[in-house]
Amino acid sequence: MTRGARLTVDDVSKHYGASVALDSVSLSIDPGSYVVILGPSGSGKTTLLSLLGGFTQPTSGRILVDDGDVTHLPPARRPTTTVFQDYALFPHMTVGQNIGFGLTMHKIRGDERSEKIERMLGVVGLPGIEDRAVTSLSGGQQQRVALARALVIEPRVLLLDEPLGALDLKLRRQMQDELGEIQRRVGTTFVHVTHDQEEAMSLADVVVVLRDGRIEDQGSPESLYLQPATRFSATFMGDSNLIDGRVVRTTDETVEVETSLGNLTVPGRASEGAEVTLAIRPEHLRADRGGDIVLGEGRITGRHFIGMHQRCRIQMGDRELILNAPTKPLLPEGATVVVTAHPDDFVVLI
Amino acid sequence: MRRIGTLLRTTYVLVVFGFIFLPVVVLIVFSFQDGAVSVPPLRGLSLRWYGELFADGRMMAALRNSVLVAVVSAIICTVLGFIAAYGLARYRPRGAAALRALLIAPLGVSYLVIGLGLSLGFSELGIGRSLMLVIIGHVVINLPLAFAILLSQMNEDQEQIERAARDLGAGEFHVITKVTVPMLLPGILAAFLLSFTLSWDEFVIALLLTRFDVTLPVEIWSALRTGLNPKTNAAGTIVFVLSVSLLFVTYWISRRRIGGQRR
Repeated sequence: MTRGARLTVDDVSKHYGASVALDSVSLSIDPGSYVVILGPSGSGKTTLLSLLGGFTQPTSGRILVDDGDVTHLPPARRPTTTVFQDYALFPHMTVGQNIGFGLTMHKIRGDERSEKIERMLGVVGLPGIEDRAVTSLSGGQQQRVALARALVIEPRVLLLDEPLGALDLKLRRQMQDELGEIQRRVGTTFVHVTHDQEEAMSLADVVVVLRDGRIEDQGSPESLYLQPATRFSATFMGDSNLIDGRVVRTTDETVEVETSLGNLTVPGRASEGAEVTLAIRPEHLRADRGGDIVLGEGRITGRHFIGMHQRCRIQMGDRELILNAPTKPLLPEGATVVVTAHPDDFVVLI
Repeated sequence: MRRIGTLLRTTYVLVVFGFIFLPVVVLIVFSFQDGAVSVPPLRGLSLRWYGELFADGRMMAALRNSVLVAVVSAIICTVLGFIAAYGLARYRPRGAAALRALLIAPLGVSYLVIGLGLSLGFSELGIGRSLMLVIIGHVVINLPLAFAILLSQMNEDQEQIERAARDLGAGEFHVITKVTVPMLLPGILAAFLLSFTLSWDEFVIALLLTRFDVTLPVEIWSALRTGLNPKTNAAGTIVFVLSVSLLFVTYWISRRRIGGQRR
């Protein structure tokens, strides 16, 4: 198998008349990595993928695969292939003919073609179904055939457009694990578009968060989750409690922020007098005195038991916090608790 | 009360179908008449008139002309309809809606007007009436239908499938020959068969645009002017049976296609 390529998006914009689908997006993707582009619908993620695949031309900017400028190459001449959301399999062909189509177009015929088809069906876990009609396959099987069809011509970059969107939840989680395994096995650079943040977290080496045509945040799943750069990525990747405030004092490593829950001193940098937002994950809040920062007393107004934890809504004065507590002890609804947290778990968003 | 209602409805349906199909049934039954009179009473069954029909040189020439006109005009309709539908569906030119309306417009023009227009227009050009003009006339009337059928079959899913083919390295020629046409084959066949059927038993345009070589409906019409005779019944039966069979085939093909993915 060929190694994946480096993919560079250099200041790419795409306008449709007056509306801006992508606004000066720049991105550098390491060879052989699994990148997930995450964003709500309308964020421009599908436009970005379509630009990478060559189905749309950017209004400005360049796209490079390794050092080659592919911005103006048609899809057929790019070292990329796409797995489409609805698979787009050829309905009048068998599984083998579908997978072999790209090989024939690349003048690979005869035994070499059959061997590659057979091997690729093995890779996607569907050995020996060359002669089946694609319309007789289940959704999950069609998904694998689409993957095999795109991978068999050994692209340098594989583009996946919401590849798991049409599958039911259980199959989606299973395919998710397999996609990761297949990527490691073939070594191709994968660019995967989704709006499902759990999918993004579990698959990606790098997650790129898009919003309104701009890159909002990017990094490894851990750093995005633990150190989100903006309010949007703090709330889009899982839940966050956002506490607005103003910086009243700073030291080299900490800031003291005046908030409706009192003055909180947390690690971070900001200039004195700046309006900031403190973000903290629900699982980092505690309903006991175990944390170093006391946020105050509150009343539990709602509680859901979710298996791994119990999710509580806690009314603190005129605002509400979400708190995920361990399942023991059970917290009764209506009870008053002291909410505390560890200073390191706060993220200062400017 | 409900029973009476059901009875009334059933009777109504039977009367309507009787009204439509009784003449056809009479035509078919009396094409097997054993005798020279094509009206009741039925004197016995025989294939005599079919024998005479097949021995009639003029009728057989007309039959061949009809098949020729139907095949050639249906091929032209399907090819032109495909190209027009593909261009409109895939390239979405400016004014696509207006173009589509313009392509479908001939459906609303009477055959008489189209036939007269072509006849007068070509005689101005010094081109006399012939089967060639009938072919052109049938393309004019059937192209809108072939176009509409093919356009209805070209949806976004197929556009995505064509995109996948390009992505895998196919040029435009291979996209059309290896993907679009095979994928749309049921719709293409339906367009061809419907154009064929409508050309096959079309009378007004064929009458206005032919002179010496005529099509079967025109020949039957001239035979009728010399009087009723079971041989014309036999010719009419052949026209009817072929039309109905082709319509059934068309219906079956398009149902297979529109009913979802092909197996």
